[in-house]
Amino acid sequence: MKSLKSIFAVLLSLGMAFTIVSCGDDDDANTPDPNNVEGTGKLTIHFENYFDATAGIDIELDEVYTTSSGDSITVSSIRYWISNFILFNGNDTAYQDEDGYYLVEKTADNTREMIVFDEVPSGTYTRLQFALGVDPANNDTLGSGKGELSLSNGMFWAWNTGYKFLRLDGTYYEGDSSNYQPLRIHTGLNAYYIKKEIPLSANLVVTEGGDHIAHFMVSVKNMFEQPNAIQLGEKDGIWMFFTEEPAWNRMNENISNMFMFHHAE
Amino acid sequence: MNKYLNHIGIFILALIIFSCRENNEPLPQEEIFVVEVPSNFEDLPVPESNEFSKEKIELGRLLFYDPILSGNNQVSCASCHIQSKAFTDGDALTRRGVSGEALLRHTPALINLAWMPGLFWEGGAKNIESLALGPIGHPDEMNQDIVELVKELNEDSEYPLFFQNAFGPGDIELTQVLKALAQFQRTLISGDSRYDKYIRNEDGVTFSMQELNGLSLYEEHCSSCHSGFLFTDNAFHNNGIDSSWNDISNEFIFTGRYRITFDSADLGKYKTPTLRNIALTAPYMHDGRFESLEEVLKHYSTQVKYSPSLDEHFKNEDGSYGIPLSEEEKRDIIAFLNSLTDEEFISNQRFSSPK
Repeated sequence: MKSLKSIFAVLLSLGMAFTIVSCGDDDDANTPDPNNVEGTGKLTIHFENYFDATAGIDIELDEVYTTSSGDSITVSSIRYWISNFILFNGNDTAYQDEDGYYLVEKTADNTREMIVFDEVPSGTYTRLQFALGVDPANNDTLGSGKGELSLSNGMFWAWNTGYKFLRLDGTYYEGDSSNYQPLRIHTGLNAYYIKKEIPLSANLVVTEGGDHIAHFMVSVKNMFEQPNAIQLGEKDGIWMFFTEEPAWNRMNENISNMFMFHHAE
Repeated sequence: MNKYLNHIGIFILALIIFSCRENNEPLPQEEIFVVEVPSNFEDLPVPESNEFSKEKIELGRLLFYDPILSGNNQVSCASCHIQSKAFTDGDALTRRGVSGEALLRHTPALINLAWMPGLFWEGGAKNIESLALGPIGHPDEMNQDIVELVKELNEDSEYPLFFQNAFGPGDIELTQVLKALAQFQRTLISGDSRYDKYIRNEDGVTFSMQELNGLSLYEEHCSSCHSGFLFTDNAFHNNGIDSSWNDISNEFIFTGRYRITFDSADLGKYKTPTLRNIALTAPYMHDGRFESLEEVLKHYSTQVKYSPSLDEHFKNEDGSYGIPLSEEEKRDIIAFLNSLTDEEFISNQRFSSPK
């Protein structure tokens, strides 16, 4: 028993040495599920953008929607960075998509709601983690070229280094006025990087060679009311997260509540 | 001649051996490149993600001087950052950009940027790699669409080869443009002025009585902000040139550091500019409002305006503001400031146009 332990210790330290010395990006990514290393399947994450997911109201560009605070809004485009996916089996990290940055968007030119992982180890997953935005290490240097991080879509600030995490452009008017004003919600800053951890109510099972999809509903309405009621006029419709302040804190908390897991198949 | 002592070659070599490169391929031996630093300077900070190579520095220089970076292919970085003026342009608010409109800030000099944690007058750019996106994209500066720029470079008859020599095979990417530009700018090191030679006991350089007096006045009155071997503390101060900041147009550009922090204590604060080569970089302040060093010292001695964010150094015990200086003291300070001019910096061929 003792000798087994020492062999184990030697193996462990060798393993640690290997871990310290080696440092390829690929070593840590796609870690196979220790319970099942037989093969991989395809997993698509689907972000379905709604104005009101609960009521089943889709978001259409330039349509008028009303928030519970009584503001009327139209959306001409919405974009956000989704990044750093991790799938968990219990407490174990079972699959990690390192350096994965994806732009989800609905604009006049393009709709993109699917993120595809071609080789997810087959197995059972109980929790999923992802981020809205770009992690601080990568947010402080523009132009790293990692994942889909790109400077070609207006999702960054050039004079105040950093990516815009979520960008919604459109118009709004308050109450009984029908005088439309520009609406610009541009979030960013390391302080407002949002990590979401979502327990999967029904476990997500990826089978070898399977083609699976996990559906998320994204409710834009929540941005204005869950849980903090937002009056867009408080900031004259210009919600630009240049620096930390209470109004942005409130909206950012709401933004973290836009994402709801619906089901996996 | 041992004026350059702090070679960082070993440090770079160590980084190359032990750090992890994205492509997991060892660097070829010839890429190891030593950037020399004056012996009275601290070591040169080099980001792991953008280690020096001769090819990348050269490519950065080529890009810096090439108007291909601008929307109309007529304006380069060097249009406003002119070597003979320590990489500024002599205008208060330049009209050398694509639109011909006056910019809202004075062209900052490019001197010892490698040691500078925040770039631009209010420190908004976090590193030199990210900095170039500001001027490249600004409609009045280079007005370039960055997707278009990368396309143009890839279609150029020469650049694809230069980029492959520097970064390896593949199409040109924007990140490579930013890295190469940053490498060249990190080499713009100025530390060979008469002052430097004087404190290094080099070439028999001595100071006149006037310069010595200016040096001691500088140490007493100026060195709290214009500190250290960089002659700047790289921090932000309100030096009393304005007292109210009600104009929030142009994304708060007229509010100084407040634009980044939205903290009222930062209203009207701008980054301390280096005093190195100061005789070459007139006019002065973030908007070039003072034409001469005489005007600057006149401001500091009698014109400092109070506001809540005014720097403590300008508040006197008797309730007055500013740094009282006699006319003779001002002349002595200017004599000292002139000793900070680095003729080698403005004539070094490695910093000049490659064409």
